[in-house]
Amino acid sequence: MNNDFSVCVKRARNGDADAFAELYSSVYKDLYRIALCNLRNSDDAADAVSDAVLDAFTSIKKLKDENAFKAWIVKILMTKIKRKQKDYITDNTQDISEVEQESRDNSFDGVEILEAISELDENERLVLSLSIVGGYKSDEIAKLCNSKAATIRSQLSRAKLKLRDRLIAEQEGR
Amino acid sequence: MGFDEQVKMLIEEAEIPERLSPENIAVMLKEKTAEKNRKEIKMSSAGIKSKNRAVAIRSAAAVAACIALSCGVTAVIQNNNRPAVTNPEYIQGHKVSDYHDVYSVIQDTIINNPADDGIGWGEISNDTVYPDVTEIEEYGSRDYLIKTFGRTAEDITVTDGKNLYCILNGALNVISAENGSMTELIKIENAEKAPVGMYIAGNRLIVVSNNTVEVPYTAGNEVAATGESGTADSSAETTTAPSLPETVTQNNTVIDIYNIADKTNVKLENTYKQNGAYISSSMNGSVLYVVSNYSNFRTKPLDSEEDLDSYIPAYYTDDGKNYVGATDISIPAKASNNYTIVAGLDIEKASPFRSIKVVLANGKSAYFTDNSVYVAGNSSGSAFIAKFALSAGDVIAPIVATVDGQWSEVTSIDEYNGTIRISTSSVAADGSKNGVSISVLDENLIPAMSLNGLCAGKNISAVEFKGNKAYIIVPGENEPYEVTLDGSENVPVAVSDKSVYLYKCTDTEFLGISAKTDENGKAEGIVLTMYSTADGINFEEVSSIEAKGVLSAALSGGKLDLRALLIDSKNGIIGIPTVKSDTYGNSNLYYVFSYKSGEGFSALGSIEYTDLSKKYEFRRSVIIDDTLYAVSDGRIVSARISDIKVIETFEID
Repeated sequence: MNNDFSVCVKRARNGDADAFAELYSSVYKDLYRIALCNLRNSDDAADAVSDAVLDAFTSIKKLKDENAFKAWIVKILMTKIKRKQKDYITDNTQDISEVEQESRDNSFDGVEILEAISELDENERLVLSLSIVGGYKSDEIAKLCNSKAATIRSQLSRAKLKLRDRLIAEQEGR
Repeated sequence: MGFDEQVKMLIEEAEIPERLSPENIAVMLKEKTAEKNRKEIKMSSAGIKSKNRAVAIRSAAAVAACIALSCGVTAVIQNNNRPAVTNPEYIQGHKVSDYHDVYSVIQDTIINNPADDGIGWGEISNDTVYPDVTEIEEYGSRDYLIKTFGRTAEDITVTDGKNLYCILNGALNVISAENGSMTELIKIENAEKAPVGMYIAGNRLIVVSNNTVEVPYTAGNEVAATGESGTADSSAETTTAPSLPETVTQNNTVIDIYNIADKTNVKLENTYKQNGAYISSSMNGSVLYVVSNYSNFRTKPLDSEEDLDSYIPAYYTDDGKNYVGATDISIPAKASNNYTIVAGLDIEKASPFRSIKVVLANGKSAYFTDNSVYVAGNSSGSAFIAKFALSAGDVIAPIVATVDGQWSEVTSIDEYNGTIRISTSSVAADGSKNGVSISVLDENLIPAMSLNGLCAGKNISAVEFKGNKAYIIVPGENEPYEVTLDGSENVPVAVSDKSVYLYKCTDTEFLGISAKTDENGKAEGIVLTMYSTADGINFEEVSSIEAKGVLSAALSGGKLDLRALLIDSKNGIIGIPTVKSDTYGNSNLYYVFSYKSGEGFSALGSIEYTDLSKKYEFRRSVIIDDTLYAVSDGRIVSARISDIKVIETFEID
């Protein structure tokens, strides 16, 4: 697979959209799920992934280590997520109830988990999604976030604790 | 299946939008490539002129970058050579002579300039002064106990030494507490009021509540009469203007003064009300000062100067409704469409109301000292601080100054050696919040120093001032960043020799609380450390002790509340609510430690209950004689302070 990555990256650097799409096919589900955990709704998540893909495609020549494609595009996605989260702060026109309604309108069964994750703070959401969805270890997340591994472990531990609390509370509220 | 796998599986149930499929992404990329090629062809046909323009743009960007860099350098130089007054705008809040001045300002500055605060005519906001749920969550929960609260002391649990007065589930409960045995004496519920805190002064219980009313929005000249309660007369004919809300949410702050001489016959002696959502209060002797923020006062077009209801705040005493006098209103140069209202009451007087002062500014937080209250907020896009001098119930017209940055969750105010320090969020060139600004002002709010962009790029949760230093708290980092405010240093330095959770117990003793983590970084307990300091700057560890569990939501939730900590200097008792989670649910614990100078900490014991509901998380505790009462919304537990042996469990309906 590493070789496949390498070949595809080389082709993508020459503007081959199909080659890039092949690279993308191995990571896009994780990208979307990470975005979904960190943003308010599926549209914003899809927008963040689309924007990240465009940036990645236009700047893939800057990717030095061809086998680090996934970490590289995840990092680009993180900047898109953070930008969107900043927009949320300055644009509070979307009422929280509206957000919840949107979530409920989703047909999938994992809605409760996403609502519970949405109640975590930004850093916790990011660390949790990178760990659980992306499968990254604490030291890898630390590199992605320019932070310390111990800090990430602490945030991850706290996020899981809070998530479990909220799920228990939700179960109790039914 | 483990917890992580379960969560992952549930997240994977989310359907991936079709537009993100690799096939569609490939199509999108090809279209973008084709579009880009078309643009490049156009550019090349434009010839050398376009190239020059590109060079010009790059040059301009380079110049802008140089300017940005040199500004950063300038800031450093300024900070080293104080005073660095980056915001020279300083304004004395000018008092108005009559209502016409206020009417003109609101008409000209606010209604005709709807950009103010982002809320313009036709966009009457239902927001109160408090950050909404979304905003709080954006900033995230804060596990840090460092926050300057000033002298605000109203609480949800108080005692007169024999009885407990608790606000539980929105109701006021009076409970006799004798040697650990509890009996409900009275329960007062009022659907129109949401009590937020209490004070006890002699035989009086003062309850501070928020009262929210929905007032129909009325268009045209036929206006709805507003009754004493603040609710509109439903018999009046109302017409809803297009694009305007049908109703406007207005808030009042209500002070109920009860005579509690006879605990079985608690009597309401006086009620005072002022417009605006409650911000803060402080009680000194029999004098109570109350701060509120009044927004959404316009419930109809402001087309008549005679219509005081539409633009002048009011307060309610035994005499009924009173409009704030024109000479009691100040208008800063950057007026807001919110009023900050400060009133003084003497609760021992038959008519408690003493004085009121108002400034047309959007106050969001307050800091009380012995002689003043400082209110901070945002007005017309700038952070401001207003100083109201206080004296025996009299409130003096404020002085107001703008400061760098924006009011936010990181805003703290502190008075030190005749100076005022305020922290705000720095604002980056693109308008986003980034880092912290700290302004130092003299007693007349004249700026002496300003630091900007501290800890830029970090997610900052709080700023705490101690002595001549500020500590910037970054969640997830074990040490706060230290900034010296005498101008000698300007770069935040991480502090590594003390706990980040510092609570001042006495002038020379600070309690530090930190998390204990295992080798994987998982929080598994708390560590209490007592530090000794002679100067408030250099700290020496004198004793520490560990306990299992993490801080409960009362201390670590989205809304930090230091009052959940019990620090009883008289008995040398420290109480701390914690939570343990395991596969069987949550354990709500209340740890009690004793601390004696020279002997250090010792664990007195803990109260522990396994519950599934958050309503049983301990929120407060008080000590009466030799008994500790730990209070949650669901139950109150009494225990002997000598060994924390439970005496009685009192369930709350």
